[in-house]
Amino acid sequence: MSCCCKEKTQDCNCAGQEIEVLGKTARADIQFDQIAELLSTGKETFAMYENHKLTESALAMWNLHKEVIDATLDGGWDNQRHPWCREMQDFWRYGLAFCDYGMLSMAMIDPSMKDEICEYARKTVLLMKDTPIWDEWVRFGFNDNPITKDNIMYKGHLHFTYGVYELLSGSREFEEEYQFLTDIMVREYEANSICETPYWGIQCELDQYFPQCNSVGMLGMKVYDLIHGTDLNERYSKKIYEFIYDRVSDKETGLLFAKYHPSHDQGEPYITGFCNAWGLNLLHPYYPQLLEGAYRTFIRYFGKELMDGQALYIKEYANFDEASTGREESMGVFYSMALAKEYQDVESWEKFARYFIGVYGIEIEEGIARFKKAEPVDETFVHNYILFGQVHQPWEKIFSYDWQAFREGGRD
Amino acid sequence: MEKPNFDHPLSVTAEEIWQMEETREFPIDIESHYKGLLNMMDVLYYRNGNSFYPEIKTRHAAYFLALAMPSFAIIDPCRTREMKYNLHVASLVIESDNLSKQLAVYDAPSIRRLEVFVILALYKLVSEKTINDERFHAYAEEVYGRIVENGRSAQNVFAYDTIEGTYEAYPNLAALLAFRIHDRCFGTDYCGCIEDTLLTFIREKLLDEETGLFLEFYKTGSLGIKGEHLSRSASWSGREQTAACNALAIAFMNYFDEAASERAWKAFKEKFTDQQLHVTAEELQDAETSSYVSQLTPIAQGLYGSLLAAKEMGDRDYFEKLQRHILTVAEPDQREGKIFFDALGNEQKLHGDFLTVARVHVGWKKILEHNWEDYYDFDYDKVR
Repeated sequence: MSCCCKEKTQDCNCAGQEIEVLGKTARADIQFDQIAELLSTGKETFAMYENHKLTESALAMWNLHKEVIDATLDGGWDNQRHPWCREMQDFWRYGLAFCDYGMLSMAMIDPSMKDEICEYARKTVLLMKDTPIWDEWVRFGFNDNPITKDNIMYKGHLHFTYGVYELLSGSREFEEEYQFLTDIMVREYEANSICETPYWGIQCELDQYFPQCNSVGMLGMKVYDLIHGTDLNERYSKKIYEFIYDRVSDKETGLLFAKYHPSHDQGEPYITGFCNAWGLNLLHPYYPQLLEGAYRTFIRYFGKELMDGQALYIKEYANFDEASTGREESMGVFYSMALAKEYQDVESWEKFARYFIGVYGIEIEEGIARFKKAEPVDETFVHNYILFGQVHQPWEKIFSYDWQAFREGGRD
Repeated sequence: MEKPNFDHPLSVTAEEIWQMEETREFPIDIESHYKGLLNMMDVLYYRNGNSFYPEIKTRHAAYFLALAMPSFAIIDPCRTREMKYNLHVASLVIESDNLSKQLAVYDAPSIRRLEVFVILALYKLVSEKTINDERFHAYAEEVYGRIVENGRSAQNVFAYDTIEGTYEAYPNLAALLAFRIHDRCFGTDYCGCIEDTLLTFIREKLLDEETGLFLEFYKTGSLGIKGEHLSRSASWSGREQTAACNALAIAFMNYFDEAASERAWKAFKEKFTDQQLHVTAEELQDAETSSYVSQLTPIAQGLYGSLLAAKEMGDRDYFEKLQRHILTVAEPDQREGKIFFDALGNEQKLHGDFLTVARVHVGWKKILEHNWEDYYDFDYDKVR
């Protein structure tokens, strides 16, 4: 395929419908000849917890996920079977982590899968610690390690994945590392709240505070509480949300600002798709009355209808109707299915699911999901988000689940 | 939050551009353009200068965008806090070693120093914060020190050099602006020491008596060796009078010498209008040649610089003529929340920043004489 510029260049900004961005972004396809058929309906998907069973398509996606994880552990990130796109290396951790969070929901849906889920939760911890997942922090010259300061965009996810594994399995294999990281984060929360330009939370890069990245650290504290009987969510996460509400969001709608800069106490009052698709999901437990309205506003302003209204895409900017081809800017739609699950929006969930099936040609072959219209690197990266989007249960449900009973072999 | 609006006209007339100061609002194409460029600059900052675009061009792109920031804040005071942060970031981005390339021919450390100095000056103008004060002082001393060193050397030129032994009007005028701001903010007297000297040098060596236009450069043949015995008679002024050089010089001279600028501007229009209005997209796409002060090709620097000069001179008719031409050949398209200039290829990133400052610039007099203190606390009033 060619783009509309005279020469194809690596970072071409062309948003012409024929651009091909292999494994770099969500596909910018928004023209479809037909309406994609769902592999599992929204009704079936939302009933998984009550039915104690994954849908056929969720199971198929899980089977693909296991293949990807094993291929990566055995052959590395450049393995031949399920390679990861090196140009997207800085983003690998997000897909991996969100799929990991989905394992909590999978465990609730079908506790009989406990051993298998714990096995892959453990494998995810191993991969999350592997150098390519975090080394851009060192390569870019921020520090000689990715966890001692800032970088919540990595260490928040690492912290959460430690917690997922320990919550599911009861294993204390990584407890020392988990505790070390928790202590670092708590110290930073406290130090940042009283520094010269105080704020609640942790920066990603210097002077860059992203509400969606902080949401991961916040929920991670809740998971830690569930394991250790502490109150870190109360002492820190709630204060972080109050800060986000006050300085990094539109108080009228609850929608999140793009970012905040502590040096100048400056929230950037721009509402974007990627930030909210992720952030509204994980922050829901902190102010449900407001954020439920925020969700509806978000879908109304940022959801773009495709396939004669049967599919939905998440735009990056409300005022512009095109798909975004920038890397991060195109990723809002990745978080869309899980977002719809969190807010119990069956209709939107189905529409987002149709978008992915239509773009990537997802089919089930011998019980495994395959992306027939995508390169291997697309399949490797994007499937994580789709599995999360299929299985995710609302956070309040996850946090009120009887995890002790689960570990002991029972069910809530 | 503003409701979505899919109406995206381009602001082609001068009235639409000048109206911004009255309505205190940016038309959507300016807004989109700004957002796209700002995103680039922010990413540069938080990726520690790691850029997909050539390093030195990136640095200059950040600089020209930053020049526009005070104007943004004057037009919409509720953006003051945002512009403070942006200027702060720009100063760090330009300073980043990752955006320097020692082996590159057009990477002039003195221009990089100057650009940081100017942006720190603009930061101090719009901000009550002291976080950059030390850096600002250090750069003021460095630039001033270089001027004095050049003067005391065998070159005997009390002026700021672009590269060793080469002196141009625009960098010296930009330095003067920054010194004015430093003096205003800190009660120093750099301008008392150096302004007359620099302006005299420019008038004597870099202005053509006959045409009133700026000359390309003044060169001394300095070999960079301290204590060399230069032949004073062997220094020379480059007699060529280009749009590229004059546009930037006029845009920055106007604050210091309106009469000289008016004269030069009149001559500029007589000599260069036809050329400007026939610049093609192919010529703008060219990335082979470059410039120490902008990284643009001479044709591009001349064209966008003319737009900036027209804005500075308050010449609405000329501005509109140029803007219409630029927006025609560049094939702007608003999509994905930004403007792409489809006819400019990869060079659109750098061109875009220059275009922004040219369209938004409210004039140096307004910028330097604005009551910034009254607006320090102003923050956003609208969520976009």
